[in-house]
Amino acid sequence: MSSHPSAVPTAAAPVDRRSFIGYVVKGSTLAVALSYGADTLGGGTTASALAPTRPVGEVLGIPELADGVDLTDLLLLSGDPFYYDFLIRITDENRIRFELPRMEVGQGIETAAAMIVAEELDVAIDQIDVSLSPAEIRRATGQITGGSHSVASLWDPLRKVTAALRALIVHGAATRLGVAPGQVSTANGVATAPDGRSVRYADVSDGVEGRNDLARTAVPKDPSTYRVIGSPTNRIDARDIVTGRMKYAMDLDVVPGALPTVVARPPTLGGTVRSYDASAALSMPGVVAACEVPTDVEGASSGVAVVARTFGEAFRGRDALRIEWNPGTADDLSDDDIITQLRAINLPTLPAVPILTKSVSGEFIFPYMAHAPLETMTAIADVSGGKARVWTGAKTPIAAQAKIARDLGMLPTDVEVNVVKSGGSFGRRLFFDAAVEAARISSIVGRPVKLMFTRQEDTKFGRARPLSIHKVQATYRRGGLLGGPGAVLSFDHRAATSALDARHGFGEGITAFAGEVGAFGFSQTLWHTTQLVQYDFGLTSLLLNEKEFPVATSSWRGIYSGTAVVANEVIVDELARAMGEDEYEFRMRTLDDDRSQAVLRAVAEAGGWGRSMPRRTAQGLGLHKEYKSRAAVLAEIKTSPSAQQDARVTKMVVAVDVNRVVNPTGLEAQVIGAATDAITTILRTGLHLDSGAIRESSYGDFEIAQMKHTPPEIEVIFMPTNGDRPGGAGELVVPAAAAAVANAFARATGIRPRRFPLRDFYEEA
Amino acid sequence: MPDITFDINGTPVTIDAENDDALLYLIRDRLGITGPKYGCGVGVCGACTSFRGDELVRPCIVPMSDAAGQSFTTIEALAVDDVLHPVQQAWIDEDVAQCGYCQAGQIMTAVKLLERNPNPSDADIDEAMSDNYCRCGTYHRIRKAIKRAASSA
Ligand code: FES
Ligand code: FES
Repeated sequence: MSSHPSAVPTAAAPVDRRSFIGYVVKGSTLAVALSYGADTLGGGTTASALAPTRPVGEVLGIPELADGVDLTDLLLLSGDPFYYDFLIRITDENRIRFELPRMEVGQGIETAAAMIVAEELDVAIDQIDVSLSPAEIRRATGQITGGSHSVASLWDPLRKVTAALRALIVHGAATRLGVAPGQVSTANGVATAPDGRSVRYADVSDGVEGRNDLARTAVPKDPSTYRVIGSPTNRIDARDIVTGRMKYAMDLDVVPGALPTVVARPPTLGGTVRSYDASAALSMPGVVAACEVPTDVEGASSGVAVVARTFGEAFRGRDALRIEWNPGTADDLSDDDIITQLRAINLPTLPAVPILTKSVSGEFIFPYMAHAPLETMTAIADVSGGKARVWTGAKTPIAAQAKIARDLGMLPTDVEVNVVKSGGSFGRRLFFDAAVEAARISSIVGRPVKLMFTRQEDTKFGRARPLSIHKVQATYRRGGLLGGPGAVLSFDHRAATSALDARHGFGEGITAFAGEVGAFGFSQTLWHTTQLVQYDFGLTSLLLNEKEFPVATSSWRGIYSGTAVVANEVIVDELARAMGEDEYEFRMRTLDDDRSQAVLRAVAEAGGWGRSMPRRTAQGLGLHKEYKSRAAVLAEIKTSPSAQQDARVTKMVVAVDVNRVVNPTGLEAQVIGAATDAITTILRTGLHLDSGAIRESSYGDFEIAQMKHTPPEIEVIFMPTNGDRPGGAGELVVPAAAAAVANAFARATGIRPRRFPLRDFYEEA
Repeated sequence: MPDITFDINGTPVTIDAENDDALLYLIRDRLGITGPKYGCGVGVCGACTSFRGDELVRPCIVPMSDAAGQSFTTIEALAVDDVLHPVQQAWIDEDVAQCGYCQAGQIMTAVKLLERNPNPSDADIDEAMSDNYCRCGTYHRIRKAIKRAASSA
């Protein structure tokens, strides 16, 4: 590794206007907890770069807000005052211990964060040990993982804080080596003088005590000098994963005597226990306790928990319970009832169009969709002596802590929420149902428990992406006989959805502006900060209405775009065909965004858009803009005459523009994962509600994409760096890929995609 | 409760268990061998995939009566003396894992695929790997890692 002379801040360096606090602990090691005070919002360099020019509240009243201020802005603005709170410690062994206030669910955020630390501190990535920070109340809205904003939200704060730490190290080393700070170079955790004498970072704690001035004026590196950020880096936990050493919540041995626990849940959503008899269960081998417990997902629901020596014994005990159930809250509801009710509340599209204009329209229906992470909801809880300790995969650990405290009548400070890496989330772990239930059970049975949802419970009683219907209508004028292209005159989208529960992950961030957005509401704010039409389509209006149903929901790798954008993009294809234009050329001609044009051009060129294809196969395009990023997808599909049962996506080309790529390897994984989600949601599966019960129960009937459904060929293109701060990426590709798959299906079969998953609605489509 | 004896990762074990207890919960909850994961409990997802002798097996549906006298290998014993199996190494080189939860099962399945068929085609991979679900969508890199391991052998 090359060494880098240090950039010594001069007196002229700009001083961050926020009050900067640096704690330097003297002793054998340098332990630094760096934090900026929260005295200004929008006053520091980070926030001012983001702050809308008008007050947020004023801006929020305007439809198609996403053009100006999007959800990423809101999340970053609300979290910004709290983002600077990291704990970084240099150990005696000269290792960097870094506590990450985010949640790792497979998106690679630990690795991306370690790369930033390695870059700014001049250490090797394998010198860094990353752990996930437990809930810390003082972080308020600064400890949330969601909305594809993790890298964006860490970007400035982590670089500044590590730059500050390096400045301290350089000065400490200079004192120790008897040279000027400007002569010290740093690499691999060692500071070196020009004559070759060197000192490990771990040995430079002297002489920097109280030097907050150094920390305050430190400047992060110039991106042109990056050697780690932007270069392909494998996951730092890869070896633990492939050897089976990685510990998920249920693998932990943190509380001696914490026993496996399962909950018998009601036959229908929202059901409650009328009475139960656990005597047979308690006499089964290994079963140690049983109790009734209010469950958390459905709010008012309840079940019976069984605690046993092994999960196998707990399952057997659960099956031996005799329970009388009260009816649920959705027993008179099935999918069709919900669709009927949503149609009734969906706002009308614009009135009849003037003569000589034509229109294209469609109603789209997307089902409830389970998140189905491979690791179900899990938590360990130990409630004793007036305190609670919990281990769980929470993306909103501070909210979990508050809720558990409220539940148990404790102060939040008496509740410890330890964040554990988890087996996937996709939006599911914004909620922490298992942690709340585990704490309740532990407090009732008076012993520590390990609670796990079975796969069946996770599917039937988990949360879901809301069922939604979308009416999209576009009016246009065809190209004239006298020449000149046709024009789209209006584009209307009316969405009606089963209400999205957005309390966690987005709610906290938006509530930080409560005074300003309170009246406007969460959902409207989320809708208007994420939905836009990026084509020049004349008069556009996108409106949302929603209705509460007793089916628990959570955002699903994106908020509204995974459905709404698919509906839009399908209509864009249909518009192009109606106007006699090529789907690609039409988009290029009407797009009013250079970055979107560039990603679209990239996939069209790399994927050979328009090449001649055999019968029943076709290409399809999809485009999306959100999170300050852009994505385009070209999908190729092969369908068979026996309907779409065998439809297979055979190839995908994806281009993304995320401003700056921190880790190409990690980003490519996110892109491919999101593209795979498109196959799941568009072609393969969804939940069904039958008289208050979810029909599906496992991967056997909730049929997510398998190896045999995914394209052998996937090409991922990253656009050149065109901005400083990385845009969001984790959810970015879902809408574009889903649209591309739907459009490819339409072009291969001539069937207009209207209800999903397509294979269930072939006849209706 | 009868005592049942079997071998796991080269170590003989005797444990009191019901005949119809599933092996997965015994090895995870009582022996602390947590590499095989619970993903479905009904033999569908493949997250618990391990070996019985030379064969692939899903411990969540192996009753203890069938486990008696058998020897099992879990992901923990695939690397010998810290030297990774070529399939594990290929998984690292291709940076396959996202959340990682399914990967022990994927790797075990791939090891047996390559033992049977040292040079699998895409269709062979589809066939052998499709009953191991990955919700994160790592299939593409799994495919690449299998091909990499095949060519390194
Ligand atoms: S847990 Fe054994 S196959 Fe799913
Ligand atoms: S890596 Fe997450 S389920 Fe496969």
